[in-house]
Amino acid sequence: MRRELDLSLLVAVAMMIAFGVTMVYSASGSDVWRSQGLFAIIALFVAVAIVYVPEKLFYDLAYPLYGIGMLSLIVVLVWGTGSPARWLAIGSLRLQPAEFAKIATIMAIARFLGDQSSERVSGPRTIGLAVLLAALPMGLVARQPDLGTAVSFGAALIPMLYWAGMRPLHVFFLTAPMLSVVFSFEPLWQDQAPIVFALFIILSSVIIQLLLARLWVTLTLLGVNLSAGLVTTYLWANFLRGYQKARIMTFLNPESDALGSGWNIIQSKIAIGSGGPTGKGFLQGTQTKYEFLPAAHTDFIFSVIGEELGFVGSVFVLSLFLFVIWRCLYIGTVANNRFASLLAVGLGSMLTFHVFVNVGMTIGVMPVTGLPLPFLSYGGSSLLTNCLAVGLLLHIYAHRHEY
Amino acid sequence: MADGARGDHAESRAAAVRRLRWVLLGGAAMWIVAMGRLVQVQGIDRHYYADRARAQHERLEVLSARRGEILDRAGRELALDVASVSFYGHPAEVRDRSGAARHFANLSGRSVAELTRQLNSDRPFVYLLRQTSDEDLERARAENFQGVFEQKEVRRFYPYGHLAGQLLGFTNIDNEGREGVELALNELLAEEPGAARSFVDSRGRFLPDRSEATAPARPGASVRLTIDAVMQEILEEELARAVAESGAESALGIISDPITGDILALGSVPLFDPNRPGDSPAFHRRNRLITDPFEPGSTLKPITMAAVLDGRHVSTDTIVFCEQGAMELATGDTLRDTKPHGWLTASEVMTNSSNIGMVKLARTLRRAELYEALRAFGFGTRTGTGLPAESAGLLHPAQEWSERSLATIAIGQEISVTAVQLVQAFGAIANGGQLMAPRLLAEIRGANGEVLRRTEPQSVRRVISAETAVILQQMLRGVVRDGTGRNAAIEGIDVAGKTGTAQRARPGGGGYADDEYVSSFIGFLQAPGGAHYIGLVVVENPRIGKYGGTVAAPPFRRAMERILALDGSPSAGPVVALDAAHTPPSQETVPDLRGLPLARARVQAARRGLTLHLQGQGPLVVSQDPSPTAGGSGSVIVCRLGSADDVPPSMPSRRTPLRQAVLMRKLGARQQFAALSP
Repeated sequence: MRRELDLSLLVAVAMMIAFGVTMVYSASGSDVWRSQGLFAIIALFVAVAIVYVPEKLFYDLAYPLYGIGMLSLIVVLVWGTGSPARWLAIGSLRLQPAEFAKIATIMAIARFLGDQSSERVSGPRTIGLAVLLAALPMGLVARQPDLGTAVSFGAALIPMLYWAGMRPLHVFFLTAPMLSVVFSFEPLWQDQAPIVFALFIILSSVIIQLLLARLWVTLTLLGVNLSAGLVTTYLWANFLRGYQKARIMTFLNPESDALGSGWNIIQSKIAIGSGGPTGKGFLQGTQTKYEFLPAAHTDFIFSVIGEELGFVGSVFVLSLFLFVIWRCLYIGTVANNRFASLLAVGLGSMLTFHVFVNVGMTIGVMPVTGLPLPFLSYGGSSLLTNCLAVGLLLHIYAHRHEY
Repeated sequence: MADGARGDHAESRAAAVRRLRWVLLGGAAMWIVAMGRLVQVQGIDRHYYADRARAQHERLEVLSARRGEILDRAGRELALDVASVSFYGHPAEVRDRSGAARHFANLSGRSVAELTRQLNSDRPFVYLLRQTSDEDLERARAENFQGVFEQKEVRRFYPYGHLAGQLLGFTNIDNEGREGVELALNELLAEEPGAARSFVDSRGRFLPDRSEATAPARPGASVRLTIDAVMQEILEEELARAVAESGAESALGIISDPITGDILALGSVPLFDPNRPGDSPAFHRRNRLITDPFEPGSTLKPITMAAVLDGRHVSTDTIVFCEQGAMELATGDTLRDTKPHGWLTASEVMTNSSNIGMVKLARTLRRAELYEALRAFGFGTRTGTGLPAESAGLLHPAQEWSERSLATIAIGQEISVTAVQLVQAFGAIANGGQLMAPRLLAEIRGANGEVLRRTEPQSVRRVISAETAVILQQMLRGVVRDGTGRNAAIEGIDVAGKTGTAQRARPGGGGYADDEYVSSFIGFLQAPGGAHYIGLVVVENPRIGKYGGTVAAPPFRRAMERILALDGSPSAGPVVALDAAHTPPSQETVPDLRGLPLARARVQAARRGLTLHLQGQGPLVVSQDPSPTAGGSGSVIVCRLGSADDVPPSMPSRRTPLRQAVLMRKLGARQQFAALSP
């Protein structure tokens, strides 16, 4: 059988990685770009190598890999290094198990949902088990604590469920608690929080009742919404750590603590905004050179691009991502089986979530979460994980005509 | 792989396309949100963010250049710029605002509340302390505040303190001339500050390699005045002594060279220290010798006499009857003399300062003739010193004169003149008939000391014939030899002069104050060396004595005696050895500050960028560490202060006692100076 490479995807990703190494060079002002370049070559080689793995292997390995992923997450909780402990040190190599666990989890969910017919996906047992598959790594990662990464597991789940055949109503049921979280979130609404939350609950219940006219559905939704809202309030008051609260509060109003927790967001916006339409020029970013922008070569690499290359550079990067994400979905539609199709969509969703959360953070539409920008941010684990995902996508594309 | 999955996949193709559309829509929504925000941040609001970026990493520095120096005729710096440090804050970066406000309020004398308010404002830049003195600098630096920075500035410094303070004027905090010479010659003196852009990182560290000068700074030109600092010092001392001895309110004085019109000294007491302009009321700051006209009284009589004699109707021997001390005027007023006189010659009228005799002599002139004569002598017009707010005095045109005007103006009433006008007019008598424009500016020098322009003495016009001038000189010598001006006589010198005693006009008009007088003496002489001097002393509202002969003539005499003792002529150049300031400063060696008054020591240190640490109390630097002989180097010199008695006699400065004496005067070592006078 002919192994056909999706060259457009490969080229787009290679361009982004090369661009990323260049910007890491500008942002760090040190030699770290060399190790990033080395990682990039290895990662791209891995991505292409995956194409030649037999098709069935990934399907068979999905659950074992998931098991290994969860094990590594437990191990990192016990023996992890760094502060907070997110890394596993193997010799001189430092790995973030959470990154690889993402792929394993998406594979496991893809296999689980792929094994069900699309009619059965809407069943509560299927949904519940799928949610459980995602919730386990979410909880383990949240314990590290790494809220942003934890949420990214859930972010891949919902599009996959929908892709697998879940009814829009059920999507709404799944997302309603999230909306409840937002509408009951006290820092967002201040004194009005109870009123806003009450309005949301009443309105959503009335709409569902009017649409479906089934009392038990409405009551279930009401219960789910209420508990989500109350749990949010409880968690905010008792569970979230100080720096997590600060990040969220800072996201809502960065200027309230311009020199403290708001510093990152403000400096990032200043960097991007001062870049203007065409930027200050490569290596000319003052925010980076004068050390105003923290974590410039990791989490805030997009700010460096925005500052030095301006709107043109930002749009270039976002367009490349849009192309890659579109490629993911396209591959999802041409895939030769449900597992492969769901895997492509799941990987695409994860990628989309990462890009949106990271870019959104740098321009102040999302809170600071510490999620890196795929392919561009400095960091070997992230780069390797994302190239593994690309490898899987290339694999699915290459095998689309089988059977 | 499950077959069902594949079948299902094929079967619900339409559903898959629908799902793809929705998922794409979700992705696109996120993309649009991000793009929209990018358009806002990088497009619409880009200037806002660019400004914020600049505000936090760019520091616009003013490259200060030095304002030109004001030198006396011998090149001594009367006014110069010295380096100083200012402290400013970027409010957004200052964390401990209340602490910083307290610290700098203490040093600057501003209120804590005001500084706190400024530090809490959204202004990008707030001055916390400007132009720190040496003593304060250490205290200011004692505490470090994040977001507070230092700025090098120059500060105007008048090393001689109040010497010629009213003439020099002063500058504001931005080093712009506000009064006096500083204002009049601001265009010449003013420097053109340059600008430089430098960069700081997030921790406020300067990145000097990226600094760039955007505009070079250009120093101002220096001006050399005709003033002689030593004579100025003598004049001020004698005026102060006159005020002290007579209990007067104030005193004014001028010393000038009648040949050239050079003003050698000019000032008034109470004195004014331009280093601290805020400490003195406007009245003390003003150069009243040119801004405030006064009724000259009898000191105008020689000018009237000049007109009378030039009118050819009268000679020195012409006799007039002086009515035994009282004469009724046409208006019914009675004109009185201080002593009754009978028949007097014109010379005797002058010697005795007889009002009646003078008026009778003046009546040989028509109104217009007297008016024209007074105009010719410069009254009623500005002398053209160029100093700010110069008054033209008050001389009504002849056609506006009343019946008694000729009489009253002849004896110096109903006319007001400035001190400079009076000295200018008398100068014409002293020099043989030429009215010389008062000369204050000798030359203009570029930043490197090169002479850009030199002014020459300028004759305005001949006002009287040489013969008339000689006659008047003899008459005025008679005044000092035999008449009202005897207290001005100096042994071995022919002093000519005229006294004046005028009732002081009530402020705001309404006649004269009964017991308030303006006592004056104006005189001239030739020194044995050949130099000519003319001097005017005006004592206002003396409590002990009222006549010009008793109140104003003695200070004139004392000042002239001391000037004669200087044994040199001002025109011949430096009267004393030049100060060490004029030897080019060397970076390697430590300057010898021992024996110098503190003010001079500061100048010396400032010129070399050194900081003085002061120990003890006193006007003079007694010892220093490192000592100049040790040949060490460093940026700090520890100076021990003390009085003149503490200075070891081997000090080289002792060998030039005059310089020291002049400079010490302001520091209270008066007795030392007195010992110099013969």
